Parts: sequence; structure tokens; C-alpha cells
Amino acid sequence: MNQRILVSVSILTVLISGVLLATILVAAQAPSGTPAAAAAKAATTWTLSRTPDGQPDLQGYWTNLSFTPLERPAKYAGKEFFTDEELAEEFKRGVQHSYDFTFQNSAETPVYDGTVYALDAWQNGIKPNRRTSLIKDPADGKIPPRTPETQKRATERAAARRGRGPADRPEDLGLGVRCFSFQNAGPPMLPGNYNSNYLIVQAPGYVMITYEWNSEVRIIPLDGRPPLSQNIRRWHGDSRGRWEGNTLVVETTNFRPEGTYQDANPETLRMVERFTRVDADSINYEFTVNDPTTWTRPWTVEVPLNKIEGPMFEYACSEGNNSLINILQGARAAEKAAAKEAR
Amino acid sequence: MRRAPAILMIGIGVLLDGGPVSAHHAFAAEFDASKPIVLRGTITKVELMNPHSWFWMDVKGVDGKVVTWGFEGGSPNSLIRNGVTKNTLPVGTEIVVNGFQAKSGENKGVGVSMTFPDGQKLFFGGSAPGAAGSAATPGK
Amino acid sequence: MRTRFRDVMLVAATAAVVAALSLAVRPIAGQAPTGVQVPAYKAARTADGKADLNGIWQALNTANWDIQDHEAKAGPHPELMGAYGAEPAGQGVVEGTELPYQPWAAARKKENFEKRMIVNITSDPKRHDAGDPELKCYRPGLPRANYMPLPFQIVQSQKYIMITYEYVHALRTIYMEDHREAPADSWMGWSNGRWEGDTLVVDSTGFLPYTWFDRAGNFHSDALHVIERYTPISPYHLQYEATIEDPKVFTRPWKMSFPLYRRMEKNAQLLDFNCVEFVEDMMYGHLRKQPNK
Repeated sequence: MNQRILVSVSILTVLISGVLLATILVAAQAPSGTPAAAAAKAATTWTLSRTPDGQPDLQGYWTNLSFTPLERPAKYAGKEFFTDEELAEEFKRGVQHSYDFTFQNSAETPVYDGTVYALDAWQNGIKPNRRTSLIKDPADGKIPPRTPETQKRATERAAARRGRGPADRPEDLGLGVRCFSFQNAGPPMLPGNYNSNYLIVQAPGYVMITYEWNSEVRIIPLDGRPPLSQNIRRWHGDSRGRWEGNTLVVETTNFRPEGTYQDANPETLRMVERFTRVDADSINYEFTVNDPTTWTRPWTVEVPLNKIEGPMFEYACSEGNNSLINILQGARAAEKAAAKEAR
Repeated sequence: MRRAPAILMIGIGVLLDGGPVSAHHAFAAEFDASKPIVLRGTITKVELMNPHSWFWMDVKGVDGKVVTWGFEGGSPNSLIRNGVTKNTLPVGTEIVVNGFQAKSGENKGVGVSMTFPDGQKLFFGGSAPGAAGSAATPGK
Repeated sequence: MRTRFRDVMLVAATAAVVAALSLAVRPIAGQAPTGVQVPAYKAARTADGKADLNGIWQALNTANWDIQDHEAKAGPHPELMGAYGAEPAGQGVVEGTELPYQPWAAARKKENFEKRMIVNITSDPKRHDAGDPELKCYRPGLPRANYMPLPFQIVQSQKYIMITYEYVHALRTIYMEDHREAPADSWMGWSNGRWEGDTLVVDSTGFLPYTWFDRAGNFHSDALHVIERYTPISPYHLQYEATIEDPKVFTRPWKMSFPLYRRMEKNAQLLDFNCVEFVEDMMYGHLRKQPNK
């Protein structure tokens, strides 16, 4: 007898509505993302637990799924936080959109139905976020202007790309499609559409963060050792961590050019992340982008991490990369067909 | 109606190049929207793997010949978190696939809708709560 | 002379103690079949009272080329690779000389070796039919990951013991609580761990059949079952043992064992060996618009 997984609409509706209602009610006391949030959370009876060696406990499975865009949309200019009503509406819209994605797009983007694989955001522990943008500094919620030097780099890169088809060579495709590296492993840990999950494990002198895509790994030493020389660059940079009170501060440099966030300058980029456990189910995560040769000023982003149930199953990307082959074969087949027609 | 990428981005969250959404756009590069397929066959192999699950099946043509087809589905990681295992969909199960063929022309495609013969979806059915005009029946 | 006599007596006494301990029912740290006499060792403890396996470790043998006794030999394409590509000699890590293959499997192993350099990339499982997965930068599986010529790091917490191998950052989550069966098959298997005294015992199943045990073509099926034992035998060594069981391929279980050495460099850390970028051309070059350009 086939085992059929059934999720009845009525149960789902009750569950999601319940989560939504509960979250809105809690948020009503103090919207998440405001200074009052920390105070409100402190008012509950949660106490910070520690690892056996005394580190504040960040361990567990976490998701950073969010409907909140990185930059503040124009329609919300000047508005940092949603009201209760707006928040509920925004969240509902996000849920609907993640459900509809497949059906709206299958005619132009033939894709499997993510809902069937429980990959929609609402099926994976997404919580409402009262912020209108993940960027919290500058105050306008926008990435600061880039330096003229950076714009020149971007122009040169675009010129190099000209005249090439979308899939002439593997190098024309993204690092993810090629299974080289998935940037959201961090830093920074920004949300993707699905499998936006992390496992944090701590041991004396180390914090380890693994990311679901390609089972990427960051092992962060806490012993104050010096950074690597510039002769060793890493796909996710090289990190050094320390505790400042109950906040884990992680500084990362030594990025490879291909793996540098927002095409910043790998020579001068320094990412600073801060992790603070704020209650049983959340970590306040923020990161600051420092690169004076790319942006006119540093900027800071806040991405809540919310607890989920594991496990994170192995993601052996290159081993299973049928897509890359199909894309390249498809492009070659299309060229052949076009050449045939031309004759 | 063509939807501009900007509209796709609203409500989904932060989308960066090289991340999961560029993989969605890569679907159009892999599968041919002008080559829809509908097939009925029996499962011969289920690969719960990343980046995408693949389902292999025997399809009997009108000429009686059996041909192997493979269809791409989603990452199995969330399925596994929800109790699905390699035993959930046994070899020999009959399924119906609505999808699009690979641009390469091989007997491969993306399984947009993969159901049991009675229309029940392979894994999670239902729809997002409060979805306007959505089907109310579970699994359909 | 008296000093020598005393030394001899000390060694004899130690041997006697070791022998006596070996009669005990429960395995005790230090009880390792190494050639060198290692005094009985009680490992440093973690804050929660377990043997502390944290650190960066590496095997120092040539098992990745061949887990059995092997001579040095030319490698693939000696006309190009010369001494760079040659294979070093090594004493086997397998206990006993022969691997107990079923007859069909012994022939398959030879075929694997002959075809180890084949790279035939298709968008289906046929791509695994021939060729050493290591050549393609695929995850090495078990127990091979433990004797790749690159270090690995153990990050040990109560619920999870994580092992990250520098080779393509291959990751294992060893579940110390909430043991369950493998939900699906994977390259590195599904690992449930427990403590037997100071020995970490890891029971792994749920393997895809695509990994090899070495470059010599030794292989397994999806019925592979690996039981590993990691035992601290000094502050700088773990003794590693793995029992391999695969009723589809072998006639009986068999064992391998070797020491793991702690990387002692100041500020030792894992670096990236993300070899996917080094094999892209080999695997997909033929699919370029202009091949190999």
C-alpha cells in the first residue's frame, strides 16, 4: 500500500492561522526588530543556557527565511516598521506568493511544484518580520552608494561578458548552478527561497555553522589567533570569532574574488557578524559590511534566525548535478537545431 | 502574460545571484516550455537527492515498447524533515506525470505535476491557507 | 647493567599490566593494536565528562591508493605526470591479507581499477557506472574519508559530533541522541554514535553505492554497514578501527585499523579543497559551445 502523505487544507489553515495569530499577538507587545523588542523579550521568563564550557548556547537548527527584502521598497520609503495590520497583510501576501510561484510561472519557467515537496516558505518555519527592509543602517534601508572605482570594475566585467550566450560554457552560469559555492552559507547569512537552514554546533574554542545548500561548513575559532595572510583566500572568507558579553562577534576577511559578497573588493572587504540568543526560539543575527573601496560607508543588516526542527540531509551538489549537464546539452541542441534551420 | 523578474522578487525575500532563485531561472534553460508531456508509467527508481530529486519510470508506448523516462522534482530535504523516507514511494508504483521535456531531447523532463492515477499528489497536497480560488481538496 | 635491567623490568611490567587489562570485558583506552607500546591512556575530558576528541586529525598512510599491501608504481599517464602522479608503496590497513569478496565482486574490483580514469558524465545514475569517484571530486564516503591525504576536524558537542573533512568539505553529522534509521541514502552515510568508555562508536548505514574504498577499485553496495571506533590512545593519537559489512559484496565482515595523528602546528586549521572547480573542465569540457575553449 503506498504511503501517501496527506496534509488537509483545514488542518494547515488552522495551523498557519494559529501561528500567524500567536506571532501577531506577541509582536503586538513589541514589534520584532525594534529596540523595545529586546526589553519585551527580557520580560519573559526565558533564561540564557550555556554550553558545558560556558559559551552562550546558540546550538540547534535555525532558518533565516524571510519575506522581507534586503532594501526598502520605494512604496515604504521613510517607514521602518509595519503596523500590526500591515504586517499581517504582508505576511499573508508572502505566503500566497510562495504557494502560487509554480502555477504562475510554469508556462514560462517549467518548474516542479515546490509545495508538493514542502519547500514553500510557509511550510518551513517562516515568521513575520516587522521590518520593511533587512537593512537597518543606513536609516533609509538602502545599500549606500558605490565608489566610482567599483562602478568601473562592474563595467569591465560586463564588457568581458558581452557576445557570450547564456550557456556557452559552465563559467557562464552561476556558482550555485556549477555547485562551486553557495554564498548564503555566509557571511553573510542571507535568506534564500528554500532550504534556508543552518545547524550551529559549539565546542570549546569553536563555533561551527553548517548550511543546508551543498552542506557548506564554517568552522570559527574563538582563540584569538591572527587572520591568515592574504595569500590564502577562501570561498566564504576566513573567520575569527570572540564573545563580547553574550554576543558572538565574528570577523571575516580573506575572501576569494568569486565569492565576495555584492562584488565587493576582496582585498578590503571585512564582514562583521553578531549573534545574540534572545529567547528559546530566536537568535538576533546582524552583519555589517565594511569595504571603504567599494561603498561610501559601512552598512548593517538584521536577519532574525528562527528555530526549526532538523535534520538537514546531506546536500551533495556536484555529485547530483544533472541540471548543469541538461542546461549545457540543451544549449548545444538548440544551436544545432538553429543551424539546421538556417540551411 | 510575461512577468518581469522584479515582480517575482516581491514577497519571496532576498534573492542573490548564484542563489536558489537563479536556479529557478535556469529551469527555462534546461526544460522546453514548448514541449509539454503527459506520461503514465511505473516507478523504477527514486533518487531522493540534491540539488533535485529524480524519479525514473518505465513508460509503455502505444507500440508496446517500454521506454525509460526520468523526471526532476524538488530537493528532498524538507520532505525528510516531514517524515518522507526512501520507502515512501515504492518501486512499481504507478504515476502520472505532467511536465516539460528536457531541451536536450532526451527522455528526461521536469515533473510539474506528478500524481498517483487518482490525482493524489506524490507528497504534500493542499494549498496555502486563505488561497484565493484554490482547490479545497487535500492532495489535489 | 642495572639501568638496562630496570628498563627491561619496566617494559615487562607494563606489558603485564596491558595484558591483564586486555582480559577485562570492557575495552579500555590504550588497548590498541599498535606496533608501538603505548602506556594505558585516559583521555582528557570535555566539560560534560566525555573523552575529548576535539581537534584536527589526519591519517599518515597510503590507504587512499590501496587499502591492501601495495608496491610503488607508475600512476595514470606517466608520460605526462612522471613522479608527480606515481603511487607510493604502503602496508595494508586491512586486518588479514585478502578482502573476502564474493567471486563476482572480485572480478568487479579488477574492472573498477582498469576503468578508474573513465569520466562519462550523463544526467542520470549511469555516470557512476565507471571511474573512481575521487577523480571527479565526489565525496569519498566511509571509511575512505578518514584516510584521504588531507586533515579533518572533529567538533564535539553533546547532541552532535561533527566531522568535517578538508576534502571537498565533506561533512558528517554523528547523532549522539535520537538515533534513527537513515531516511534516505547519501554519500557519507547516516551516522548514529554512542560512547563505550572513551571510545566513540559510530554505526553508519544508508550509503549510496557510488563510493570506493580506495583508488584500487575496492567497492561496496548500498547494503554497506560501517561500524567505526575512534579511541584516544595518547594526547596526540586516536586509534581508528572500522568494521565493514556488506552481504551483497563480501562473504563476511572485515576490519581495517590505523592511527590518526593530531595536527600539532600552531593555529592549525582546515583550509578549502573545493576540488569541484578543478574537475569542471574534465567533466563538462565536451559540452562547451567550442569544446575545451
